[in-house]
Amino acid sequence: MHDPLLSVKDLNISFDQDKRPLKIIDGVSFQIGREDFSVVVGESGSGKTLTALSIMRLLPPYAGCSGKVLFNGEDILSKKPEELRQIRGRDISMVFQEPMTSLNPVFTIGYQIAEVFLAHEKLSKKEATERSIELLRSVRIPSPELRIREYPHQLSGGMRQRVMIAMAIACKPSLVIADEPTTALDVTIQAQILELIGSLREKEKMSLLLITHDLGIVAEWADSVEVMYTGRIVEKARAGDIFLNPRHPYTIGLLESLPKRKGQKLIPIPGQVPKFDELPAGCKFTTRCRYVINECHLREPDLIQVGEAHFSRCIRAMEI
Amino acid sequence: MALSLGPCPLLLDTKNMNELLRIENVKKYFPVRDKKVLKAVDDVTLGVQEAEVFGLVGESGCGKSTLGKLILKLFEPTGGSILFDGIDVVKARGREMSLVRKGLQIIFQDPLASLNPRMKILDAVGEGLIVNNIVKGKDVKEKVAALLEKVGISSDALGKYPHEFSGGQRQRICIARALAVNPKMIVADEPLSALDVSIQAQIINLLEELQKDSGLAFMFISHNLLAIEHFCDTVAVMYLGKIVEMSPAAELFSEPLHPYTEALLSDVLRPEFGEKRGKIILRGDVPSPISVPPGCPFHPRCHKKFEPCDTLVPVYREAKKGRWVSCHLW
Repeated sequence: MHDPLLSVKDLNISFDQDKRPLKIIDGVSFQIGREDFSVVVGESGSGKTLTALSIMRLLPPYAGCSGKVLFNGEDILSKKPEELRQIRGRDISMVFQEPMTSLNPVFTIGYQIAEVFLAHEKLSKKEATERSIELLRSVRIPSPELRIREYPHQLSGGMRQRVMIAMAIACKPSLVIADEPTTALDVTIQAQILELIGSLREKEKMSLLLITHDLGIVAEWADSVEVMYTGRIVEKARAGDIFLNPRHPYTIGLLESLPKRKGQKLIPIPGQVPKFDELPAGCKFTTRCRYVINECHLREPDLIQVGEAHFSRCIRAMEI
Repeated sequence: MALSLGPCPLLLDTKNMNELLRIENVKKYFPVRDKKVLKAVDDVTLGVQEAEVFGLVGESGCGKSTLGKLILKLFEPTGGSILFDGIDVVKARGREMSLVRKGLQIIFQDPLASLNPRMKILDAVGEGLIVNNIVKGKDVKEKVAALLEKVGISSDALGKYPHEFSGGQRQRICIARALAVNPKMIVADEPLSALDVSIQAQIINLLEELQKDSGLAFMFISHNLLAIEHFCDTVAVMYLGKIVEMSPAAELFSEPLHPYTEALLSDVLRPEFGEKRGKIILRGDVPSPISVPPGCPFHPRCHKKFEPCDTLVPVYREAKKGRWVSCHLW
């Protein structure tokens, strides 16, 4: 087996609260292969965005971070700032959820896209502009020659997200991280954007790490899936296994709580996600789990292998 | 009749039931700059039966929330009539209006924004009881506790403030507040959107229970087609201020008539693993409701557009029994 493109090893992130560190991300490890479509799924506060930010090393300075993030075999977490600037945008790039807050409102979109080329490739301004127009065309923005002179507020939400995607793929990075890229968009626009992301990924042979709370996106697009809960990966598997053979009570709960056809009663997960300073001892899902037994409270289970490329953090994984 | 195996006797039954809400040709125009007009709701006609769950679906800006607010008279309509339980909502004043308020309640999308941060839960939920003279004095506390219990909140909540609860619990409190006046119908405007997946299911189940137990009617406004399919009896699809298709839910989802409905349904990401279904990727964005395209408003994005679509406005008519659509194909 050849080396994976990205390998996150035992990632821990903590924030100081009342001078005591509060651990948010606990022992997260996963890999993304070349040209993989990997999805991290979880609800709000599960730590999925923090995990993504740590790959780009965009965490706030007061966050304590340990572990390894190996990209092409080199550890991102030990890079110098100027080395990081070379990687960001050229080798790894990111698309955020809310395009309006990630685009600068006082510069034209043409300027903002050209900036990527000026930073990473030795192009003249004229060449950079031409490349920007080309790029906007490739994300299917109509009349790009005119659009490059417009400001973010003149574009619709879907268009802005296309611009964000254009900026992300400008230097043909090998990994694009997309954090809830379609959550702020309407259904028909979401379909447009996902289709665009999917086709660009194939064309440019990129790997994609997509972060979402929407299991529909997982079913439709993902190769491999990591399910996160309270800052931990609780299950990881190939997409098919997540839906057809889930092996963690949280994954099962998520699937059961989705609206079914009329007449079928939904089975919600009882209670709510515990706060990080009130996590239970032992398995963190015990407060909401219907399969809980005494041993669950004693110690936190490890991720155990339950099938080919299929792992679950549950001591009863094989019984449920 | 009783022995007939004809099409769905349920449908025939609804005809005999009492209509609770009737909206006829309702319009809401907002003046905008340059003497233009934004047609948020344009000529909408629909009816909701007692104990019916009516779903209103559409993308942002299609006018579904405006329509919800018109029904509650949170906006005055530009034209048309709204009849709730025999009362003309548009003209109602004073006592009549307070009857409408008692019969018709609303739940909003963001429960934190719709609860006063400085009011304890007892006061927030109890206010409607006191204002409407439903209970008085010491009984208020008891009644509020009973209401909270009904929505799955323990009575220690009475003395707490909204910020002490999670999103799902706050939405439950908003539901309890709506239930306080014992309404006949609740307008629920995107009640799930601010909530996490596992909590959404809790709220859907709660609404469903309330609907079954007390025969409440719902106007369920959402862009979440999976939730609409699960919960609603009848569904209306809105596009640029107009209803483009209205039909019993089961039929709408199994055989959409309007190309827009067809595209919307094909774009739903179903959390089911298996073969990928063909998607209809619509061109471009929803046009601005200030400059609605001539002819059929959907024609610039339509994948089935043909000759009359860009000039002639299609008539909204009953294409099949119980199924209303405005499209030249039908």
